[in-house]
Amino acid sequence: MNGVTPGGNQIKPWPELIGWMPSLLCSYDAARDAINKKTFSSIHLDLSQLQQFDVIGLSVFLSILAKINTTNITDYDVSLPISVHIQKKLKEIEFIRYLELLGFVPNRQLNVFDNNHQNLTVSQEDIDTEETNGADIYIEKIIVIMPNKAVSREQLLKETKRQIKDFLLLDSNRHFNHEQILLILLEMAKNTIDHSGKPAILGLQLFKHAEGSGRFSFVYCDIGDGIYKTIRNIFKRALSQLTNKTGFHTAYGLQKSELAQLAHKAALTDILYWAFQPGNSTRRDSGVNLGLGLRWIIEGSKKCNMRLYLKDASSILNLTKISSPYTRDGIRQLSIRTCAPVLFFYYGELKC
Amino acid sequence: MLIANKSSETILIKAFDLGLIELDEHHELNELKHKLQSYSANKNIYLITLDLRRCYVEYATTYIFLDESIQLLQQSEIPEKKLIIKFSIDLNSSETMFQCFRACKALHNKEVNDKNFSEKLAELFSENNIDVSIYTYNFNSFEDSDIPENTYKLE
Repeated sequence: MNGVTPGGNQIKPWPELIGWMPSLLCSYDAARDAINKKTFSSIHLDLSQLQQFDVIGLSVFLSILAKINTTNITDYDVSLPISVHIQKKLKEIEFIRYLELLGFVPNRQLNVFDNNHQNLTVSQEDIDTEETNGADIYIEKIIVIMPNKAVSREQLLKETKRQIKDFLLLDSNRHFNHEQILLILLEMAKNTIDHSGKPAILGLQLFKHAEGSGRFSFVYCDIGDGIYKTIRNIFKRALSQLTNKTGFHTAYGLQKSELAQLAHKAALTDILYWAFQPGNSTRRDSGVNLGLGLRWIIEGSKKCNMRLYLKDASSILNLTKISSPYTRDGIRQLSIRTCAPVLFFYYGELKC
Repeated sequence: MLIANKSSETILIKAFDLGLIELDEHHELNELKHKLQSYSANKNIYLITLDLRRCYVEYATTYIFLDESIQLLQQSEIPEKKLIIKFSIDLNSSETMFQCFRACKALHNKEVNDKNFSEKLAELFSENNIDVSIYTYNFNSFEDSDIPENTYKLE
């Protein structure tokens, strides 16, 4: 292992992976595209400069990695953080296990500086690097939801619920509305299982201060195509099945002209507007999908004073600012176009 | 705590006190259903209060105990009946809160769809003289005397 020079397409996260924004600062598109297009088959995940992280930042970063087609990777190295403290934290959070779940099984785990820093010591900087902000209790967890033909929908939801409930139990004094939080997160998980079919990464974070205040945050990253791309693709397929010049697609309640508009010309605002209407769902055949999930996510979040953001395609919007009845203009006003990579996630935050 | 005896006209079930906290799991759902079924011989019920505060619920499965509640009130000989459901969750509108009845078998012969659901549900309640209210509470509320933060009724 010593003296090995890591090669391949390098992916290096922002050194301070706190919250969801830093993960979006680095462009991994070139490395990801090269691997997905089979131009290259090696990857070097360079974590050596990672100095701080929380589960929110780490979960978004994991979701970026998860978009890489690992079947094309034949050579994969990981450089561990120089900071012993961060190495320890990554181990506690079982980071390598989540990477492996997502298909990243490293050939080698490297400490790039093995040759030059034989006697690494824990520096004062390492010890001071705590993200607790003075909180008395600081708990983090990552849950990976892996849709799998071998596991039934019911079983997968049961396992996911169990993990979320176990985390919420750590808020023993009930600073937050556990029942409402579970309802919201479960709707997101159902959307993953019923619509995406790809893995999802849920990062949960709980701060509790001695004086009673605190914060619950989460990020829910679905590795699938997101609402915008998924719905547009479904509408394109539906359109191709309407053989008459004029026609009505009964499943989606749309005239052919409307379907064509949504399939070929819709912006994120138009797709979200359709998706937010009660009863509109592209997966009614699941039997238990009432087409209400997105409304429940939004209205449930508003009612428990949660700030909830949605990142889809290249845009971000604050869902809890949307008022019912939802309008295209209302959604458009809240939508902010970014330079960030195409990702789908929700970020939620509750304070007490 | 179960407050009722079989000749009483009022049933109050506090699910949390019965240990039925995970009402999103089939085992506890069926226990609640069986508790309600134990009153099936009583023809004088006029009020059922289901206190589900601090309980996890899933709207895809609430029909399991709501169907039993509706059935008890349908067979009651009291002219006007009431059903009160108390929740810690709040979804911000009557239309959404009453979706807990969406999968009820009592609606199966009414050709319900997304657009007419509220209307058909109101029709079911009206036909059976059942007044239904959903109360939502602060998530730490638990006392019988606590005042609900919101009351939802079908219009």
